[in-house]
This record gives sequence, C-alpha cells and structure tokens, in this order.
Amino acid sequence: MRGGRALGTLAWSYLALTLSFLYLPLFPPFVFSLALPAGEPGGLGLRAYLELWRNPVLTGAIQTSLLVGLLTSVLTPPLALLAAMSVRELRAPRAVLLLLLMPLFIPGISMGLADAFLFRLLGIPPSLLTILIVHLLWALPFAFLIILTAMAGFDPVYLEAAYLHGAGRLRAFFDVELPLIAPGISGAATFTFILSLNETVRTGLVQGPWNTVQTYVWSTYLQVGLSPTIYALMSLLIALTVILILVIRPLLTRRSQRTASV
Amino acid sequence: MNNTPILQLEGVSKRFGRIVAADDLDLTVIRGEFFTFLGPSGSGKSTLLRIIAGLERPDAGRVRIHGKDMAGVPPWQRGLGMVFQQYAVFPHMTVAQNVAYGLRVRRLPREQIRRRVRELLALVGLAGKEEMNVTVLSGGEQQRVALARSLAIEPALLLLDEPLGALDEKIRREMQTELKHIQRKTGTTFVYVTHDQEEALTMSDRIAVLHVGVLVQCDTPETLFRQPRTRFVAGFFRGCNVLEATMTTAPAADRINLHIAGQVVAARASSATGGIGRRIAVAVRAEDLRVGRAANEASVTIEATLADVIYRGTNVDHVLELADGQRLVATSVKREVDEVGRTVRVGFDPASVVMLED
Repeated sequence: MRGGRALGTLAWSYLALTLSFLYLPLFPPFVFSLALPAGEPGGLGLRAYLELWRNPVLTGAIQTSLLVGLLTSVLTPPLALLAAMSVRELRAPRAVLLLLLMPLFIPGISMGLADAFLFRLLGIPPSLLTILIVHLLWALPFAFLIILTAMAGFDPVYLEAAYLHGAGRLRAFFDVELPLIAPGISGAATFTFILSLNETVRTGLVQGPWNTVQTYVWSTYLQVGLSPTIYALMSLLIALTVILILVIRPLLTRRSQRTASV
Repeated sequence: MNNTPILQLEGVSKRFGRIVAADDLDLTVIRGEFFTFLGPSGSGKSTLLRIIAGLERPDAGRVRIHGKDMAGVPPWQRGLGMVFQQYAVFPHMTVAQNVAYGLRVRRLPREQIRRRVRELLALVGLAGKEEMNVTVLSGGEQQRVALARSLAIEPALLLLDEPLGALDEKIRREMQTELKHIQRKTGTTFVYVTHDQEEALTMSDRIAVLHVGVLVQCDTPETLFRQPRTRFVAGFFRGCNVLEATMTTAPAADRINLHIAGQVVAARASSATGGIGRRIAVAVRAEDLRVGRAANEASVTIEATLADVIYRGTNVDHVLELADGQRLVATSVKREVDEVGRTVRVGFDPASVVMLED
C-alpha cells in the first residue's frame, strides 16, 4: 500500500508540473498589463484596460469578432449535425470520416491561402462574408466530431419507439433525438464560437479592410510591438476562453450522467 | 375467442450475410391471442418481430395485418405498439408525457389524452406518478411506463421484445402474471418474444419455437410441453429427457416397439417413419419417470445406476445412468433412493414416451 501512496505522490507532482508548464506563460501578460508606462508615478493600474475601450479600431474589431463568432456558432452546428446524421445513416466507411476530419490537419496558412485564392477566382472580394466562410470551414470538422460523439451515446431504440408510436422520421427526430443530443449541439456551438474568436492565420489572409480582435493583436504586435494594451487584451481573451470552457463543461457532464442512469 | 386472423406471415425470409434470421416462415396469429416466439439467442425471433414492426424489411415473403399487405408501409403507419427489452422510455419526458406520446402524435384533444393517460397508469399500477421523471423509476416501473405508452394508442398488435429480460427474477415473475392479466383485460393481441421457456409456458395461448430462422413447432403450451416434435424442442424445455432408441418393428396401428437400453417398449407411433433397425430419439419427461418403490407399479421398467441426487426444493432430481451409458433425470416430490452408485429400477408408462422426428 505504501508503494501505492508513493506512486500517487509522484503522479500528483508530475501533474502539478505539467499544469504549471501549461499555464505559466499565461501569467506574465496579465502581470504586465497592470504595469503603468515607464516614467509615470504609482505601481499598478487598470489604465491599460480602460484604454482598450477608447481605441475605435479595436472596438470595431471586437464587434466584428463577436458578430462573426455568433454567426459561425449558429451556422456550423446544424451543418455538422446534418453531416453526422448522413455518416450514421449511410454507415459511411472510415475513409469518409477521415476525409471530413482532414481539414483539421491542413496547415492554417495553406488553407487560408487556398481559400483566399478561391475567393479571388470566384470574384468574391474580401469581406465579412469571406471571414465567415473561412471560420465556418475551420470550425466544421470540430463541430462534426463533437456532435458525432454525442450521437454515438444516443440509442437509436428511442427513435424506433417513436416510429412505433406513429411519429415519422422528422417528427421522431425533433421529439426525441434532438432533445437528447442537445447538450452535444450546444457544446459544439460554444466550441465553434471559441474557435472563431481565436482564429488568426486564415482570417488574416481574407480579412480585407476588416479587423477581428486577433488580427488586430497580430498587426499591432508587428507594427508597435508589445505594450500594456496588448497585454491587457491578451489577458481578457484568455479569461473569456476560460469562461466559455466553464460554460460547456456542465453541459458535457450532465450528458454523461444521464447516459449512466439509463 | 373468434378465429379472425390479425397477423399473417407468408414465406417470410431474412438473411444477414450468412446468418439466417428467417427461413420461409408461415404463420397466423389470431385476434386477441397471446402468441409467443420462443427460441435461443440467434434463432431469429427478435428479427421476426422487427420485420412485423416494419423496422426490418424481409428479403422475401409477406406480412399481413388485418389481411392487408404491409410491404412498403413504414412502422409509423402500421398502428402497432412495441415494448423493448431496454424499455426505451423517453428520458427527457415525464411519465405522463411518455404515455401520452402516441396520442399527441395523433393530435387527440388534450382532455381526452389526460383521461387516457390516467386510465393507463391505473392499469399498469402507476397511478399518481404522472409527473415523475422516468429516469428515477426502477426497471420494472420504466417497463410499465413503456407498456402503458404502447397500449395508449390501442394497437392492432402489441409486440413485446423480451420485455422482462432486463429485470431481476422476482419482478419478472410478478410482471409475467401482470402482463397476462393486462392482456386479458384489454383484449389486445400480444406477440411476445422470449428465450425463457417458463415465461412462454406461463403466459402464452400459443407458442412458436424457432431455431435458426425455422419454425420448428407451433402449438399450445400443453401440447408443446407434453409432445415436443423434435429433439430441439424437447431439449428446450427443462426436465425433458431425450434418449436414443432403435425401432424393432415398423409402426403399425399407432403402436411401435422401440428398443431402449436393452428394454423393448411399446410406444405410441408418431409421424416419424422408418423401418426396423432405424435409430431415433425419444423424449420422456422427468416427472413421468418413477424410481425406487414407485417404479414397481409402472408397466415398463429399466435397470439403471443412481449417479446423483439433487435437491431442488419443491422436488428432487434423481440422475440415472442406463446400461448403455445414456443419462436421464427422474423427478419426484421426495427423495426416493439415496445411495449413489446403487442399481435401481426406473419405471414409466409407454404412453409417456414421445417419438421425435430428428
């Protein structure tokens, strides 16, 4: 038993080490965001945070990010759901599944350039639409994977029960399957929103005159370098992501509890 | 019971790759009947139920309900009810919403739905549990909800796919009696699938025994129990001894002489044919065999060695070995002989020997 405890301590220490390795880089920006510009009196302050709101380029970028993020998270899950349903219905072979997931592994810069080139061939000027399409393409495989997983936990016997009680395919889907896989769909929507909010490389290649928060951070860094404003923005984005993840978590755990009780 | 057929299967066949689930099956179920498909796993009984439900399409043959060919009719238009082994009550709906589901799909007036739900929950013994969350109910209660949900739509047929298979012994026995009671009370035709011979015998009006997609025998429980037609059917019912015998005469006037472990027995001839010297199997029920003193009153006796005595509560099994090595079991209400290894006599009435077809 003592050997087991020693092993436990070792495992916990390793876990602590891994976690600090993962999260350590996130702290300096936060600390530096509170520092005041050199030469000014005083130690720490929220001035950098307040300044964010006085920058019209940035507030415009925030609006764009939120708009694109919301549209992506509304449009992607239904498309992913249809794809997942087709895969199940056709009992599609693994190769098809792999094809659907392949875009996840294509380098962002290649995908972005390919998208930009296609838009030019089609004569679509860089706009909110091109940003939206690129985000949708980026998020779709992830959303597909999440919904497919949620659907794997759904027992088709519920659909059969609905059919036998007089419900056709569509009715049975809306009455029975959709409510039971809803946590997976809202999880996919939240995840999609995070992906859209954080996307940079592909966006940068099709953004045209529009800025998202990420392209703003990137171009400011290239032109001005690091500043308390950038640190503040980074801290906010990290905090937002953490909050969104915490929003998905209960949805996912509630799902697994229900599956366990059935 | 009038004899109106409600369900007819005509030459129904279904294969999954090399597995045969149904092989040219014909049968008729009468209105109001409790009809059971009995068979081991892999016998195709569940597939047959799914074909009737419209959840599987047969490769060949016809399913008729009320005489109407069901080819191309989807499950939601067949007007059937179905109870599944895994209950399949909708976990996101209350008890009442579950029971009301089929009625809501059919757009019945709200007041009528409420009345019907109350009626059915009373029928299955769940009165007052309308607003409960189904996931907190026990397995037996969930299955009652499923039963009420299926009966609510007054189905032409109620299909039950091993509905008690996931319940523990005690609840299963209670539910057996209750299912039979509900079936009688509502007059609904039940088509029931089980692998449990006792369940089938207790509840059914008729039983169809299935073996790898073939209908081996379809009879009342009594006939099936007393006169199994094949070795497979005999082997399916607990307490049935199957013995190897040789014909010593050709069947004549319903009588035949059989040679069983050195003893000639005049048995009742069945449809099995063949001549002198043909080896056949016969069945004799364990409770029709007498051992010890009781054997002396029997018209035929055979010598055997007592191999084991097994106490089973309400009865005692005497395991016997015949001179040619065949084993059989004789059941009586008390211990007849005790010393294992002793030579004893086994007695029986030739009328209780049933010739099997294979």
